[in-house]
Amino acid sequence: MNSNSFKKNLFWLGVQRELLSILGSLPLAISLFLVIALFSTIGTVLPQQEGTQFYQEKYPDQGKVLFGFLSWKVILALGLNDVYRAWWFLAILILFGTSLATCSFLRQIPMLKSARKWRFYDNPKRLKKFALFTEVPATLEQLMGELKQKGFQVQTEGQKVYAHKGLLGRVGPIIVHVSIILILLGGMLGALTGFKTQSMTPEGEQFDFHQLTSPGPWTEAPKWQVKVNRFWIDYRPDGSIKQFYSNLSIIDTDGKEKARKTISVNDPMTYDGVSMYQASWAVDSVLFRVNNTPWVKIPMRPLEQVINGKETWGAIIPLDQENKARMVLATNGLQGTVQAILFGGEKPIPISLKPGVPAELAPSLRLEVKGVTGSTGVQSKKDPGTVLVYTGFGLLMIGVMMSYLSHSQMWAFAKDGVVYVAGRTNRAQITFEREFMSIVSNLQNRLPGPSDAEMAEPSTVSKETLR
Amino acid sequence: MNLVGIQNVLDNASFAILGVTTLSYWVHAAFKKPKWLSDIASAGMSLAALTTTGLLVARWIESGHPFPVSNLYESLFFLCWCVCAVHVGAEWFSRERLIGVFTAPVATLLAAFASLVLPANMQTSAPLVPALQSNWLMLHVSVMILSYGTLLVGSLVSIAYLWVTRKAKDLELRGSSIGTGGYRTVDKTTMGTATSEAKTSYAFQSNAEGDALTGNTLTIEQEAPVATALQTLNLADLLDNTSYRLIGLGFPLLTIGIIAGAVWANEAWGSYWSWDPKETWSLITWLVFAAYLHSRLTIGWQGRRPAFLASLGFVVVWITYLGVNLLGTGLHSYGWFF
Repeated sequence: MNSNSFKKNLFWLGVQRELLSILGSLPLAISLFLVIALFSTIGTVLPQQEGTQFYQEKYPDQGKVLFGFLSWKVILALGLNDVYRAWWFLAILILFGTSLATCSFLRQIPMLKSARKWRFYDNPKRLKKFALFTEVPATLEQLMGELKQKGFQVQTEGQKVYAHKGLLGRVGPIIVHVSIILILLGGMLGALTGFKTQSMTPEGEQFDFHQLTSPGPWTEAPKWQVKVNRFWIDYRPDGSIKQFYSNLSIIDTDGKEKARKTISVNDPMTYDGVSMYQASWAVDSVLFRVNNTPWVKIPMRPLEQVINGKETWGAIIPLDQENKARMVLATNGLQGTVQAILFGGEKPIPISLKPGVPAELAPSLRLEVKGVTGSTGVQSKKDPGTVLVYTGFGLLMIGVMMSYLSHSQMWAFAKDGVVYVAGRTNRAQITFEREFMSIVSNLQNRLPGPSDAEMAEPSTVSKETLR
Repeated sequence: MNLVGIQNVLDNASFAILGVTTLSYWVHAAFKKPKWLSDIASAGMSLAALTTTGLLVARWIESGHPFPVSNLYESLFFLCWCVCAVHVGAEWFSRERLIGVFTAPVATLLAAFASLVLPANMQTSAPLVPALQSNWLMLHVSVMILSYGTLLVGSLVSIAYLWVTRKAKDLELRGSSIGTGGYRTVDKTTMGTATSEAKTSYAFQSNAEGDALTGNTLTIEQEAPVATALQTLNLADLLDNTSYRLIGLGFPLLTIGIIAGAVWANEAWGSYWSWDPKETWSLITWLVFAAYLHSRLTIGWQGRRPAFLASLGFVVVWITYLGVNLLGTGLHSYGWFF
């Protein structure tokens, strides 16, 4: 064996060990918490995922530059227009995950092992290091009775006692770390293999997955299509919206219907790993005719002006060649009523049209509406990482609750008719101190006969300190 | 009297009771007497918890919602209830009335904001928009606000700790996941004499700030072969550990609340996390308190630094709860007037 390469190996081993101990260190963890928190605030203050033009207008690089440096060039160069997908933010998250994993293996698991390994003490001097350490003229049996009553698990070896409870409180943080790693991995898997897309589809038509907005590098788009059989809205008596419904059918490449469901907000449909959510809506068209002509489908567009305090859709119909006389159709939703306004005369003439009820707007101008058709906004999503994320969520909830438990340990031994007791806990120090005091004072009060007088003073002190 | 009338009475009563309670805590803290004043303050906090409970129950019956947290008014009073209830628990646990000096004004401000500042049309209950008609709403919103209440009281106790220890040096923390503070500190063991006993028990009753840092070392038996003096917790230790336990309770609640919100969002619109401002700030809150919990483990961070982090957490909770809605964007703008 070459001694040089051996030295080299040793050097790299040292570097490795050093790196790992920095990765798993607390100062790094705390810094990462605060750094992620700090960078996260950027996205809540600076508008995210807008077009380049938006930043050029709002954050000029000449004249009044925000804070003297925050121009659109800086924003785009640093990726501040999309902080949470910026390479450096994702790098910090990966570092965070690595630090978590390192800490779990390097610190938490060894610490759990040492917490499970316990020893007996039989020398008062060794117990002196504990803040809670005292001696009681009682028997070990009496002490063990007290401890068991307080929920401790008691182990003995001769005249030595070790008791503990709440060991799960030491397991909790490990579960928390593992579950956060699972959530981060699940998020990563979703970003690489999943997709999310929106589609606005009029009732009666179909949508597919040929154009995905943000597919991952390994995303496979579904081949099947979705038909919107029906879209409708439930209104409350006061006209406010109660719920949206879309009746959807899955149509495979052969044109066969594979599944069918009515979705609503909070009640999506899932097929082949793809979930479809009721996300948005719009007015698509109005079936309309003038003076008993055949029905005409008039497409509706969102209007800038708001009528009746609600979103409004409308269409303009020219009535003559010069475009002087024209009619505007407008509606707030799918309730069926359409406003028709005739322009071109001295002043606009409005009229309200109910489906199936013809109305005369002017002599020999009979208007009729058959119905209003809506479009449904469906958000489709495939996220294979959800299983990991949900597992992480479940474990995280269990882990954080377990982490509230305090791991309490008690040591005792009997010598010359006295019991020496000491104890410690990791979290609930107030509760444990009271528990310790109550065990000690119970033992003292249990003593019969002559030793009562001797112990009178200390026992009152203990009660005082119980506050 | 109808339900709306009952609500109006309880609304004003809660604010009045909390106002008196705050004054009582402050006067008693300033003059350290009379004792009956601190009794009044302590009782006032419990009474306010009851009146806000009544208010929320009346609102619940009136609206027929799964839980009365559908608009800002209801959520403010629910948070006010949480602060009062957690305070009552913390005071009972720590047996220390100093906490009220810090918690009572916060509860008072919450009640004042809900009943005096909010316009009348924001105070009435309204039907829920489609997105909010879910059982996850009840879990998400109520657990979130419960966690805010617990974390606010916990960080207020940390602020009380900073106040009490403002002149102190060499502080050791009481409690962490690795067990900081279970071992004897050297300088205190020497005080295991009978004279310090009397002083100690006096310190506990007086709550005087000057006594806050007196080592409470008790001797159980003088003739022991080794010094078997118990080294117990002083006022600063007490506040430190109470704060740690409250934040330790609020942190799991916050975690469960955020997860419930994420699951709800995924079931409702297909995304468990979308970096919406409110979501992001709840994560920031989580990170700050995670930093607090980890800072207690760090040897170089013993003393007052974790308490400063908890105070930062106090500010962050307010931004998450109210501040984010000033931005007026995102998924969480339902039923708010900003």
